[in-house]
Amino acid sequence: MTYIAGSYTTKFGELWERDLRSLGIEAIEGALKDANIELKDIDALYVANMAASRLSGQDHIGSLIASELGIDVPAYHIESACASGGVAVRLGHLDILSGESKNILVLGVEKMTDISNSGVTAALSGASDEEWEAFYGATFPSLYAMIAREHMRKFGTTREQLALCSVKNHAFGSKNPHAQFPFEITTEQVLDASPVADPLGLLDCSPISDGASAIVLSKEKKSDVKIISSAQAQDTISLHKRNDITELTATVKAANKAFHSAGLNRNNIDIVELHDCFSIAEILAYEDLGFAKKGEGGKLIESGKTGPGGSLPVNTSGGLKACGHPVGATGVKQIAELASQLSGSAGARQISKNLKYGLAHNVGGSGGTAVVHILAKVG
Amino acid sequence: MVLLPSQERRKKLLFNLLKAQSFKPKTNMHKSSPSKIWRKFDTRYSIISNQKAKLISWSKVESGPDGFDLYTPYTVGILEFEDGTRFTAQVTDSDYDTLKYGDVFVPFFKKYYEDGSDGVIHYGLKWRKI
Repeated sequence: MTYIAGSYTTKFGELWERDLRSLGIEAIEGALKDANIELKDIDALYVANMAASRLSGQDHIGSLIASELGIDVPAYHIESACASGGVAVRLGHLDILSGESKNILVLGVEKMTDISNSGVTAALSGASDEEWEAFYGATFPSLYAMIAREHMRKFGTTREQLALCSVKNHAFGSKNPHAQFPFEITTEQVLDASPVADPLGLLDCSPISDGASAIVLSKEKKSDVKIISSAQAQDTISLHKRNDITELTATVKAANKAFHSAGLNRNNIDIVELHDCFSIAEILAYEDLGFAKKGEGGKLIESGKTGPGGSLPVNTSGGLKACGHPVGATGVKQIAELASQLSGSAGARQISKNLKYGLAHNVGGSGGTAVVHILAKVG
Repeated sequence: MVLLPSQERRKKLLFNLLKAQSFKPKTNMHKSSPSKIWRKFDTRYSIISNQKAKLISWSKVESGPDGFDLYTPYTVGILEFEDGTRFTAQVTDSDYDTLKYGDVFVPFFKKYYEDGSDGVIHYGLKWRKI
């Protein structure tokens, strides 16, 4: 069994005075303190990071962080684009299940604001098919915009429904002191924002962020939150190769596997952190995770069920949109947020109802990788 | 005694530094070499004559990656050949506001971008509505 012994997330945002290593170390020190575990008891280090080689000129991230900590344990660098964090958590979890390790540090970190916007756009394009998508100038906002357009055509999803996802995530994010944008926004602001990739505007898109998040995984019961299932699935790296671009099939497969191995149904889940890299991605995730029928994600956001006071709160951290999206950190932050919520230590944004099961959903690229974790609170 | 600049002073220094330098990546890494283009000749650069493709979805890129500055905004689309094969490419010389699902496009050989000031010039197919 794998317990989330402790977690810590740094402030997300444009952190001009911070670099890759200082963010990573802050998160790790915070997580160790939260877990009440000493560095000498750590058996392995998993570092999720997507693009430090292009963003900071730094490779060999495992060694970088291990040497900063002054520890000699296996240190792995995990890269699966925006799903790097979720994959790193999964591998740490499997490391414990294998019997190899007792205590694992999982760090997700990304420093994105040191280079120009077009440089970051180019670096992130590395998560698509370089030869068949990026070459032609297809950026991530434009790939998700094409998904949105087709979703609108096929299912009548509206621009307003997309906007509601951002509004809802900002409403939650406004209560998170670590969020990049801890304030509320209105539907009108989302609709009036400058275009990024039609039909998506600036407030449909998660931001460029710096930040880190770390968790400590333990074999022994050092907390009352544990991982009860972990699943991952892959799909074609390029969007156009899929028969249906209105579904992230990797999410469907990973979710089905995760629910099956946990022996749970969708209505057992009390709280969700999902991958809202763009507003349309949240609608897709509702459907592909099985919380709404295909084509009815727009209705779910309209119902308010996933918002503040709703019966299925989604993205209490503010999601990628309001909390920020330091790519490698996101998947770890999702687990950290669920652990805080399930253990009742989420402060001002604590969901007041009794929480037992939480689900985290992390996507790489336009759906080439998807990871789903289900966490449970134990008595 | 060493005098460290105050937080305020540091911010001002940083601000001046950012103003003074063009805010660009430190290296001009070329994405491609002539051998890479040569290797891809059969797939990327051979014009498929008389091939038509249907527009499935599209978007206008307002914020492009490095190398595309001159062409932004531009339109990308997912298109489909008659046999069902889909691909991503730029659509051009077509009125953006009139694009609709199912519109038929034909290819033209066009320049995509320059790989920096002294790198390879990239050509490829762009698609025009008929």
